[in-house]
Amino acid sequence: MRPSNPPTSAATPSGPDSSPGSDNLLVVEGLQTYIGQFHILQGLSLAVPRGAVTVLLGRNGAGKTTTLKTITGLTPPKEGRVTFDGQDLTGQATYHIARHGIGYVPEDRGIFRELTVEENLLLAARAENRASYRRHLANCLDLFPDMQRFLRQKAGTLSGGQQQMVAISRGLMTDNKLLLIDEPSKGLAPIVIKAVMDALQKLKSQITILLVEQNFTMASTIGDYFYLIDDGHNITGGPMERLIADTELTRQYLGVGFA
Amino acid sequence: MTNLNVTENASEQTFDLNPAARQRLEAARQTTLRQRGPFGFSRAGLVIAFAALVLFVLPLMGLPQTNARLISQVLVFVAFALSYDLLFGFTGIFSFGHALFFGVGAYSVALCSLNLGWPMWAGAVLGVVVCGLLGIFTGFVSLRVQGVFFAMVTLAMATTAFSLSGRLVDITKGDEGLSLIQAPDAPDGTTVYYLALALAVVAYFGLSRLINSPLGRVLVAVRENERRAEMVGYNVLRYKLVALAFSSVIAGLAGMVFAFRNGIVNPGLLSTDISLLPLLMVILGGAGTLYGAVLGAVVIECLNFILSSSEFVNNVKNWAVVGPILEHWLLLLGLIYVLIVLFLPFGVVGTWQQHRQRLLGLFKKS
Repeated sequence: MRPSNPPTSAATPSGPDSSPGSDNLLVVEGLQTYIGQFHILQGLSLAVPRGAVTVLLGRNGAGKTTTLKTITGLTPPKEGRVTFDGQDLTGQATYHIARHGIGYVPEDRGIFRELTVEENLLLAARAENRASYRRHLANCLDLFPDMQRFLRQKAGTLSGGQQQMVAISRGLMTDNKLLLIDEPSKGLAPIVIKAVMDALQKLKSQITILLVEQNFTMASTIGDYFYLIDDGHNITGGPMERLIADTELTRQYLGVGFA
Repeated sequence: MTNLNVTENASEQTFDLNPAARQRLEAARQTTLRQRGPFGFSRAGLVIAFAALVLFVLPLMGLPQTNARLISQVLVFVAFALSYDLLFGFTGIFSFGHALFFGVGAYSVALCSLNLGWPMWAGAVLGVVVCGLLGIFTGFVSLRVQGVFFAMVTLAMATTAFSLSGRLVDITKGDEGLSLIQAPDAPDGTTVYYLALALAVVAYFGLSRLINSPLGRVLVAVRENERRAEMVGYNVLRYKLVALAFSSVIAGLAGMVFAFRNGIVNPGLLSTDISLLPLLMVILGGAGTLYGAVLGAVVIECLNFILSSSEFVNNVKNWAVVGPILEHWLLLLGLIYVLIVLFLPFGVVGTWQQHRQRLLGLFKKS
């Protein structure tokens, strides 16, 4: 049973300030994405402000993951535009988009199981960035001190939480400007979620983050801005405080009785 | 691409390090230093190097010609299987037409020397270039499709080359084949023997160097998951083409040495039988290890030689029950393949790696 949508205009982003003058790192306008015959994104628009954490919220199947995949070019949009740091990335190859400075931490972590953790990080650094490898590695070990213990271990043998550390670190091995993180808390024990949350808190000062998260506690603690999406378009958006205050909205779209 | 040797890199930007971070990096360096044997060889590398040394000395101590011929054939197929392992075992490209490069390498030497009057080495250089380009071309045509579909396209290309070599009688003399009159060989076959040895050794150490380079790491990542490799910023198609080019050049060289050894080049070199051989060798030995490919090639070529030799067939003919089966050695070989796929799905080397601890434990107890 779907609640009746509040009146929204799908084409105009209604989130954090998306007026032309504001400093948005990523602007997505009117995305229409199909997967096979299914029309997943139906005019989704959003703006990700530089230096902040923007959280995408919505129920299962709302199109959150597809939004990230569309931004990274894995599922190219049929219509719409993706502008990153002033450059139009729409329709570019995934590896090209990655090289523009967008790191992606997919839901399944996407690590290379048969490579060691260190090899995963080297791979993510890419040979042309070898001069900065140690700086980035030091940064990642600072975020996840535990990782040092299993640097030589095959990534496939790690626990879910450890894999998540590797996956996030991989996005930090280059001078990426934006990190897309898909459900980092999924399938993790509460204590591990806490560790990931702490790491993301620390990360906020380094990099702009677009986070998909179902765990409302995590989303509301880390997020500065939010977008609520449903049926492939954005319902509403704004500063996180507004969402926390609006119990009606959270109950209707997220199924959480918060506060 | 230069070697990116992890944490011990001298050239690097200066950056602020707090003492804790410095300590952690140092600890990481300790845990990640590569463990290498003497002269920087890995353990498998040492074994191979030793074997190569023995093979190098053998002819000096008087090796019977038949044995020299057998060994050169084995070495040719070692190189061929290694080239296939780069594709199948490391990059995850499943080709069904690797004979294309083997045969084209052989034919380019033969055609250049017979029809154009070129010296052997010139034909060989041209063959290398042709094979490399052909590999890249094959990739461009067919790498947009994956898995079995790619295998089918490569099969089609190899089959096309096979029938062309049989039909273009004016150029290739059809099934009769081209004989390499001026094949570079001393009467006792040692030139070809050393050529084959050099090829196998260069192929092994060249490829193991490649696999351990950043490029090799990307290839393994591509094998594991292409989309993930794209997400990290790698142009997967380009890396596959590079792998294909390297692989086809080595396969072409193997074909050339094989042609020298046989003194004849015929369409059989382009047949599906030849395409299947490296696949079987790599599966038998264990894919993605290099020494698995070496092992597979040695075992299969030796089995082939023993089971098909007249001594073996004559001996076995009169045995009760098993005699008639053993006489048909291809049947026996087929049976061995089936057993291996059933019981050692990761090949001899792969199974060993998986159960090393347990197997070693068994030995200790007994």
